[in-house]
Amino acid sequence: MKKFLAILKKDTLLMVRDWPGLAILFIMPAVLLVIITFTQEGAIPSKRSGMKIAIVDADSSDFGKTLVRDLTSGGYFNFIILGTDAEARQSILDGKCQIAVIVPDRATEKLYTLLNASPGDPARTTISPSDNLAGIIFLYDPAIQKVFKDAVIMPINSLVQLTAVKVLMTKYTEDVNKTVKQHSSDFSARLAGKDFFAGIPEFPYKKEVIKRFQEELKNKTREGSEIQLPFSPSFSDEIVNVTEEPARKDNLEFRPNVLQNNVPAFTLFAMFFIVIPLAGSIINEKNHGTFKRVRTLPVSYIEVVAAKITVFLVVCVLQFVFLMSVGKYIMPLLGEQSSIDFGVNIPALFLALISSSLAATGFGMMVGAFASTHGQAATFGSVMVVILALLGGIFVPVHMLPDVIRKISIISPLRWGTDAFLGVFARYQGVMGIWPEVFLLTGFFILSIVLAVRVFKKH
Amino acid sequence: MTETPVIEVKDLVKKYRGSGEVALKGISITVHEGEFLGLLGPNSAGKTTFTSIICGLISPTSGTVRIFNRDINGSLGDAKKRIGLVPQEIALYSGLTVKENIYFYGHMMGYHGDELRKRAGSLIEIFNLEDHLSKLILHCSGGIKRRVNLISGIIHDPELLILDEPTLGVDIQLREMIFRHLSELNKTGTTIIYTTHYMKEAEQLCSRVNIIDHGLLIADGTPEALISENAGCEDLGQVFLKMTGRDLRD
Repeated sequence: MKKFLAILKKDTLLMVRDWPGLAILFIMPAVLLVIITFTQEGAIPSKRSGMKIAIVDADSSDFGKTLVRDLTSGGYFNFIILGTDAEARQSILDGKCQIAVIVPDRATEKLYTLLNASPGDPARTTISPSDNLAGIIFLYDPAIQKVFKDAVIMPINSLVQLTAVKVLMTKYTEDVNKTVKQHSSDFSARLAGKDFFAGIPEFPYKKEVIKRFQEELKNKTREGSEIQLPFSPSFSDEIVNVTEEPARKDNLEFRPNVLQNNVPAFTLFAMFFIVIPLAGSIINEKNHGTFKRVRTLPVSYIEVVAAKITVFLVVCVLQFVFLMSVGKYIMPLLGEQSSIDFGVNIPALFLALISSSLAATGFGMMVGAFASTHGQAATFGSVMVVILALLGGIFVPVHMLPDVIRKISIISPLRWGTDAFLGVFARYQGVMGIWPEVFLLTGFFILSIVLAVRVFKKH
Repeated sequence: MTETPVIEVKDLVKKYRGSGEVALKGISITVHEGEFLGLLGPNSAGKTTFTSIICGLISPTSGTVRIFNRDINGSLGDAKKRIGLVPQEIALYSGLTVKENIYFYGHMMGYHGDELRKRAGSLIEIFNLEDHLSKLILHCSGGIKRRVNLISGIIHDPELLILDEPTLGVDIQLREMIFRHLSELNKTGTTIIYTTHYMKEAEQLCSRVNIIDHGLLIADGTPEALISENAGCEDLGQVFLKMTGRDLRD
């Protein structure tokens, strides 16, 4: 028992004194817990998520006004009101909002054409697009993943259809009431006529009784003149056409697909996992004394660090080529309908790739410099990559995350990388479109290397 | 041996930031060309700090260090090409073969092609490594690793060779081989600083011995002179114990 207690004490002391190990065991899971929870919340689009939806009411009539009121009073999404569809398009391209609901001019007028349509009229078969029908346009950010776009557009579309029915029924009810009122008025006039009571036998109080009868009849007809109908008659078809359209700067043909979004994002995720072999290689050199020995040789720091960076940079580029090839050639073989479109801006793609690879390599160098054991480097490195990926919008788009997490996500190099790649592959941007991300990634690389070299020198 | 100084260290002080420990407290040592200097001292005496400064791994807090008649100020510059270091640990790449490790250090010293092949081939033959060239260091025995470690430090025929316990954990046969080769190198003019805990080795190899303790130089002379100057001491081990005491060190 004493031996057991001695061993117990030894292991406890070793554990308690291993601060980096404890941080990995306690702090990192806590960070993961918080971020994953918020991320999962973000997976269901809601007002808490950062996603913003623009509304443009070019109709400015019954349907447009009611729809704007219904959408904004729902409290489920964050809406912003914009004046024109060009403004909405620009807001999406600028990243200020991700989806725009556009109510075109004369939407109400087109909706009301249904009032004069007879059963069997083509205008009633509203699923197929028709110029006769009112339409709504959903503009969306091409970088947004389909699943999240659908998760937003579907409930809004339901509300659009419901609002259209409500507006239509209100208008129809008003028309019916107008007619009924007219009939009531005619009927009252007839009631007021004396001959209405002709043939009624004489009676001492006949005059008073007839007067009371006239008043009661008037009341009865008046009650029936303000009839309100329920707003949801059993319309099985959608009565508003819905068009989904990616926001683009130019008119190039563009068909966004899941591969176009996912392959670059997960390639970036894989690139950052280079932290494990790279940091491991640095720790090996530190532990085996080769790092110290090389410092006594006539070779500069720049050459030593540059050689290591070059090797791992090439690995990152090969990862990119490999995973892109999987997306392009293997996924279709497995039944994937879509394919990656490489008709992108090549200089922009090159810059996004190199800056992301440099950032991943810099991250690995920094972890390798600070960590003292393989265990620390592997655990810290891999958990950090997952955290940075969650923050970076690899699993759930950044704009779906709650405000706090979204603000924190600004510090994630994976977010910059994702934005750069999505800029190239989903938004077809050029160098000018992604330069802020390239600048941040390169800056992160330089900072990481400077820190790593300082730590190397200090050791 | 000439009187040309290879290393001139004056009032060398090294304080480690953070711990506040003073590893060297104003040491002055001059090493002349062709000397075989034994640097002795108990654990934590300051030997490693001294050799690290000489190799340019750390900067001194104060004092001057001149190597090959040039102030180094923490940076050896071109002098690195003239210095060879054989560290105590096996500072080799375990994922590379014996040959790849030797060639790597040769390349670092600026040798390539035929010249490198010639230098490497000669040392490989001397240390009898021909049959092990394609073995990964990871799979080599301790003796082979020691030999490769030594070759990697001398492949460029350094003018100044610093060895930190090169015979740690090696068998008698290899120890003899190392001694023989170091003596030959010294005879051809290589200045050698040899750090060891084995007093017999120092006595056998070194033309001069410096004993450092608590960051101070406490003895300087030939092994014979140090033994004769300390009455009652019959060998360098006894001199060492007399000067540094029998208390255990950190």
